[in-house]
Amino acid sequence: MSRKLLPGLPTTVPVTAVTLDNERMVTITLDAKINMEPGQFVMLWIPGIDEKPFSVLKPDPLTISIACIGPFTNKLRALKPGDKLGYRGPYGKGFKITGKKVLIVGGGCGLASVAHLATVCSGQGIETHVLAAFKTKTEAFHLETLEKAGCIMHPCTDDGSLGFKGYAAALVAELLQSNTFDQVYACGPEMMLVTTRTVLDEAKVPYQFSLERYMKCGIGICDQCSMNGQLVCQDGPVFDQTQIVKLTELGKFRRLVTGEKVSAITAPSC
Amino acid sequence: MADLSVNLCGIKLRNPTILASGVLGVSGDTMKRVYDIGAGAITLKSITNEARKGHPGPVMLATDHYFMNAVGLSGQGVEGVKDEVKILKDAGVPVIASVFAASFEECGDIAARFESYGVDAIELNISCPNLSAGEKFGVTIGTSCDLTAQNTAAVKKKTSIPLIVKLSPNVTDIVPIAKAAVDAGADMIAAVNTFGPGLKIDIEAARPVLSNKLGGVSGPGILPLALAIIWRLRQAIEVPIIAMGGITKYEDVIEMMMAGADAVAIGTGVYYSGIAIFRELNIGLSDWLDSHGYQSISEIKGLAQKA
Repeated sequence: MSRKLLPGLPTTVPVTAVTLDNERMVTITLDAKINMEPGQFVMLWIPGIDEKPFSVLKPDPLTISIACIGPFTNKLRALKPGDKLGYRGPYGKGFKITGKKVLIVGGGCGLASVAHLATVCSGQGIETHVLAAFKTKTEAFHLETLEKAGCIMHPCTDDGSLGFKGYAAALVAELLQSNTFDQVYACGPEMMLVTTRTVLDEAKVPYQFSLERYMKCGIGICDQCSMNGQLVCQDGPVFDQTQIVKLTELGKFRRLVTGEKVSAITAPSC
Repeated sequence: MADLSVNLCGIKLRNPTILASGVLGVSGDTMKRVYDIGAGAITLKSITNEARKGHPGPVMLATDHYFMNAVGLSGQGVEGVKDEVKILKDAGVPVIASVFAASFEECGDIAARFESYGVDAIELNISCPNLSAGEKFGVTIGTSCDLTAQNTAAVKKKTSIPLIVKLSPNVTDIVPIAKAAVDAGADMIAAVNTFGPGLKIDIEAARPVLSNKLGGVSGPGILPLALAIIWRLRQAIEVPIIAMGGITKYEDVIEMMMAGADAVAIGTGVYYSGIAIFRELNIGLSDWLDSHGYQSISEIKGLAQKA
């Protein structure tokens, strides 16, 4: 065997805390710590129920912020301290930290995927701007935590109830008028990524996006997460602009549990 | 450089390494990538008429020595997979379509549909162990000589491309089942599917890890078991054998070929060595054959049987 094997079994530990961030988001802390790069992910196993991929909010103690959007995530939300939860990972390629001034864009629950990156960047003395985009004020979360970590916050909502009124891409364009970012990082709804990408391509700013696809194994076997032959679980989930230009499926279609292709715009539920 | 090409019932492969069914067999683009990196042919993930979700997670687990899965035959259905096959055939990739169905008649129809897509061969999966209650395909067929013969004949009747029958090792004696398949029209035999069932319990959760509880066992630990089956099959049947089960390095391929295999398939090996395993195996094979004075890989076929 020529390489270090990816973790192939869950480690099952007690949940130590379950915090409701708002109506939609829950943060779960496990009695575990892992070594990981920002942007990598873990598979979470509710014993006897199912197993799904989630990005990591904090590796020590292992903390995950989850949008409760389907049967599995609602079962996660219902966990109590002391309940057992399995995790395996970390998996995939994380964000490459580069530059002296960066913009980190998190759309909806996608903010949870880039919050660790923002904390690490800020901790390294990088001028870290965070664009946190939500539909409305009541869906906002983690803003104070990131501000305390030294990030410069740029909240934005579709309805203007908090911060900039409008979509993330419009605020990115506005921020680019008065700032020069060495790198832009983003995670969020696929349409947000597509529109943000157009703005960044026009401004010729380098970027890295964390992408999401249905995933069964996390270890490069099931092929469910393929985008143009790239496995989001191993080749991603973070891709840079030179890779994203080849991912023509972005914004077009994704695969269901069966492998069937459907529009990428319809939000997945889990 | 030694010639690695093999000929399977008229299908010429540039080398004997085939992507096994069930691993990276969903996306045409992924499978083309596997071919581009070095595989000689690609086997699609097993497909039936309708789309299937398979089992909830975890559907697989891995350790240093063995791998276990109970995916439950998820798949997009024969209609959905048409575009994936087109990507492969447009790129000139030799494609094997793995099929199963609830009835023999339907199985033949699905195979005929794949033939119309331009695939190079059909693999009849009568060996998947991860069925739900009441499902009468997969290993339900492959543990019976009669059912094996009937299913094989039903597919053979509706297709004209080579037919591979993939066998389960979980039988008292695999030889009569292989003979039943060959007598009913199988042009080739693929062996073996996963061993088992196996079980892995998470002691902290106090329950099986796989949602299906039981799963099929593959990975490096099964290599000697699979090899012995290839050895016995070679002594009993004349048709080409595609050998699989635990191959992770080029020496394993040589052992399988020396036992009498005509080609090999790699599935779980992708976990142990990554997609690049196909390139690495071919480099290893080529170097080994050169350094041992062989002109062609066909020269080592069945060599150990003559000892």
